[in-house]
Amino acid sequence: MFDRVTRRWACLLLVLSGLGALAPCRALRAQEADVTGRDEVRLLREASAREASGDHEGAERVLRSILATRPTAVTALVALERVLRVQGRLDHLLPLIDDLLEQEPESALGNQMRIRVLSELNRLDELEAAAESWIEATPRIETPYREIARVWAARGDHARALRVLERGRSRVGRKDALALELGETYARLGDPARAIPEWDRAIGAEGRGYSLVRRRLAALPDGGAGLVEGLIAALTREPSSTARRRAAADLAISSGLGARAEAIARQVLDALPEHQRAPFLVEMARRAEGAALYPLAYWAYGALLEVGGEDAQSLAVRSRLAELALVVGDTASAMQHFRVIEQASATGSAERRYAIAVRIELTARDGDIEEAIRELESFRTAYGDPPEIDALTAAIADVLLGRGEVERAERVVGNVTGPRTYLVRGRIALGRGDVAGARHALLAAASGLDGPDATEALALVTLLGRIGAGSCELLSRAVARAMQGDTVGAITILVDESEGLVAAERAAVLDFAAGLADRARLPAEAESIRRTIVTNHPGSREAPAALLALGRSLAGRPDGIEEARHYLERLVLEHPRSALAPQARRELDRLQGRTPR
Amino acid sequence: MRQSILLLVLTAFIAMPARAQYVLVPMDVSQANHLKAYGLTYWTLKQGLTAEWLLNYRSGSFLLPDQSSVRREAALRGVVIEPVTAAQVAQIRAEIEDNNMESVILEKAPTIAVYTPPNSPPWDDAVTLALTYADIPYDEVWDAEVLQGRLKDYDWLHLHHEDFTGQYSKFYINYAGAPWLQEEVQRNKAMAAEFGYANVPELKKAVAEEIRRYVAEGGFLFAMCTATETIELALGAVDVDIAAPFSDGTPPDADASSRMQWGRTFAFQGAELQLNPSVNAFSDIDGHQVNTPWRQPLGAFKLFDFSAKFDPVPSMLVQNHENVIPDFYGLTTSFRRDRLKPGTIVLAEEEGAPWVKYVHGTYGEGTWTFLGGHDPEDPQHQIGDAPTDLAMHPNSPGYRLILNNVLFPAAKKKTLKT
Repeated sequence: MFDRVTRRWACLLLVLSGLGALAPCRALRAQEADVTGRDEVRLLREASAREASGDHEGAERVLRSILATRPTAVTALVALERVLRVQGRLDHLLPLIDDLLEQEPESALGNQMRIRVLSELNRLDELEAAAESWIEATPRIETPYREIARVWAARGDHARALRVLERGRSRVGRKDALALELGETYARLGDPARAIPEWDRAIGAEGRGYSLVRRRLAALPDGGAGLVEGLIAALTREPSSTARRRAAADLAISSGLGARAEAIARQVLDALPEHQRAPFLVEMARRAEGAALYPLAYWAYGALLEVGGEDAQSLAVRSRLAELALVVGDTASAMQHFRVIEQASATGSAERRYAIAVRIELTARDGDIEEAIRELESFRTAYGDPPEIDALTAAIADVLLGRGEVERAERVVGNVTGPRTYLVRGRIALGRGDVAGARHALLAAASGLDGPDATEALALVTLLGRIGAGSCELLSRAVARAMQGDTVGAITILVDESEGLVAAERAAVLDFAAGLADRARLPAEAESIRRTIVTNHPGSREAPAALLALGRSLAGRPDGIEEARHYLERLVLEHPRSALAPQARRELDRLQGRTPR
Repeated sequence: MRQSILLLVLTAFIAMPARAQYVLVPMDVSQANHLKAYGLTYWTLKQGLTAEWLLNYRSGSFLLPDQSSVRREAALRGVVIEPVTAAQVAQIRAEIEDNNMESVILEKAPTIAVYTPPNSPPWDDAVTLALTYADIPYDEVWDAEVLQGRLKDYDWLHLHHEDFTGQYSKFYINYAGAPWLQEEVQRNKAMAAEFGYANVPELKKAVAEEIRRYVAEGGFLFAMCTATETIELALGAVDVDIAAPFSDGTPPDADASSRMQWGRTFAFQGAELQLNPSVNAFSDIDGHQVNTPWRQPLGAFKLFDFSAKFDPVPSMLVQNHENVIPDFYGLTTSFRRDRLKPGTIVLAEEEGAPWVKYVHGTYGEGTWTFLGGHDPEDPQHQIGDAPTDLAMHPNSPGYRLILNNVLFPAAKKKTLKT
């Protein structure tokens, strides 16, 4: 009936009609999906509100409705985990996880959730099966092994965690697979010999994994102290790389291994291209100073000076270098640097003045006292009464006192006033047996001194108040030795040569000697002196402090506890009115577990 | 000659200083260490000596025999003592007679048990802190010992923040997955299984019942914090499920509050239970509800005065050198007045507030005392906080309340029956 053309048009019309019918369907489906997405957000909010108001059953219903529509809605699943846990029905989550995994068998979150829940429910057989299933789903990916090992580790089964990780490495097929986790597991199992090579691998040829390893190291119970040296050795063993050596240097600095860090840093420096050397050295210098590794900082600044040109920055570096040279005891280099600073600084500037003062002091300490005195006069003429004059004058006077030239020292000090010169006057007065003069000078000095120096000056003042002129000479010699850095010598003088003193004076002198030993970190000497005080001078004013100090130092040793208790009880019973008795009681409480340590 | 000798003897006698018979341990502000003073008194009793508690005399001072060993202990503990002659003692007794004061003989060092799970450090329990600091010995008991009837070996039992409803103090709300909580759950479940109980709430009810029996038969009970409220709920919940599903797998009975048997409890009645597992509270007994959105702020509570002669027991329990004490939170901080049973003695309250802080009563042959809050010197204590160092609080008025309870069972029986 229809001719070919008409049939053709009819077919075309039919096709077009069909397409036209399809279009709204697609739009409808798209619209449905859009509604579902918005609805899901709304439903999630509703579930959250119900959960917050305590309607857990309601929250559960809402979340289940989301999951019924979309089993892979992980937000709903995570929220439902929380709701079911509160209700003690965590096991009801498992079928829903299964639904998710049915659609997405490789879902990391789904698999992880399953093993975590099974672990929490203590269903170990199923946990093993679930772990196996996850591994089989993605055998060549690290994630399953990592997460499964984590679950076993959280259960305290590090050995099992290790087996999982080793299996993972074998299946993944890379030698460095799971190295970070293996290293940590071996470390927690107390096997540094295996932990170190693993972390070495994790750090990699280019050092990219270093920051991760460093975090894991710091999280170990001992902060990684048992592994650091081995790891440094591994990183620097050939064939190494600049990045690995830099990591090793950083590790060494963090662990306080200054010399090691310097040796490695030198190697790194040699290997670096020129334009990278200065930033590297700046980093080293700052890290070293922050860690109080002054020899390393000294080297780094010295190398930086060689690398950089002579400009303002170099001058700043040289200033720092000069100070560090004094700290590390390289006075010759310090002298040289201060000369350069002096020449380079503007006339009349504070930098120049300071550099001159230090240089003069170093000249005196080096032995050229005559030159130092001449330069001091010039300095005074040029600068009058600058801030450096006190320390500089005192340093020169100290050298003269050390040579026995007391009058000359007195002339050098002249009418300069300041804490250091007052200390010198105190020593001079002490040497002459002028107790009142010494006390006056030391008191004047103490007010301008810092911490330990002030403490020592005041301790000396107190002591002078207790001894006669006859003991002054003894004290003067001891103090002179201490000021020259020979604390042991000072203590020997005080202890050995004070035996002839009257009891009250001897106890005071011994107490001073014990204080010197404390400040010089000589605990055995301090303890021995205090035992002498409490044994030979039990009724002295110094006895309570000696008893307390002995009690404290012995309490720190397992074999000293009984003796500590004895000394502390003695303090309380024999010196009930002592201001230290309450502290002794507190120590006794701690010792006997009556209060937390 | 004879007269000369007599004169000589008389002169010597007169010249001799009057020997002190007693030492007074003052408990007013002149005392350097109130807490250790209780320990010294306990120690004296342990030596087989007697002591006297002078209620309301210088804030509840003690009179101890003047012996060198007592003086030595006082010196070592840093407790201030004042030697008093017979004449001075007579003066003290006269003052006691004429005022609202009383002298109570303490004749026996009570044997003390602290209910606490094994392996828990003493630093999280104010009572064990106090006992340890004051050097007062105690034994630890837990469910096994209670169920085996060992409480009868002790004069005094202390409960702290144990949850007798078996819900692990609802810590799962904030600490689910924490290793220490999992360990606690495992330990309790194992104990329940060992003694044949279906679940932990059932186990704890049985333990609460044993404690109730212990008090009824003459024991002294002191409870603080959660233990006060939860032991009551456990006692009242006969055949009622009041525990969240987390503990026993089943939800609580919806009508639990109306089915509680308050006749079985010590102190409370008519409370509404908190059945919402997500709300960190047990009932409305607690006035402050510290871990809920409707938490109440802390104030201060005031100790009541009692007639020392006619009410020596409550008098003993409130002896203190401070009358108003800053309040402190606990999982159970305070007790609503309208939930107290008639006959309960209120020892301290926050004036104007609908709750009280410290209560006491008798039950059968024994007594119970409840003090709300966790630690008097740590008002906002959190899990994991550093332990309170009582050496920093030797004069703590809050801790004195705890130690009053330790010594009061030492009083002569006649006094305790008043």
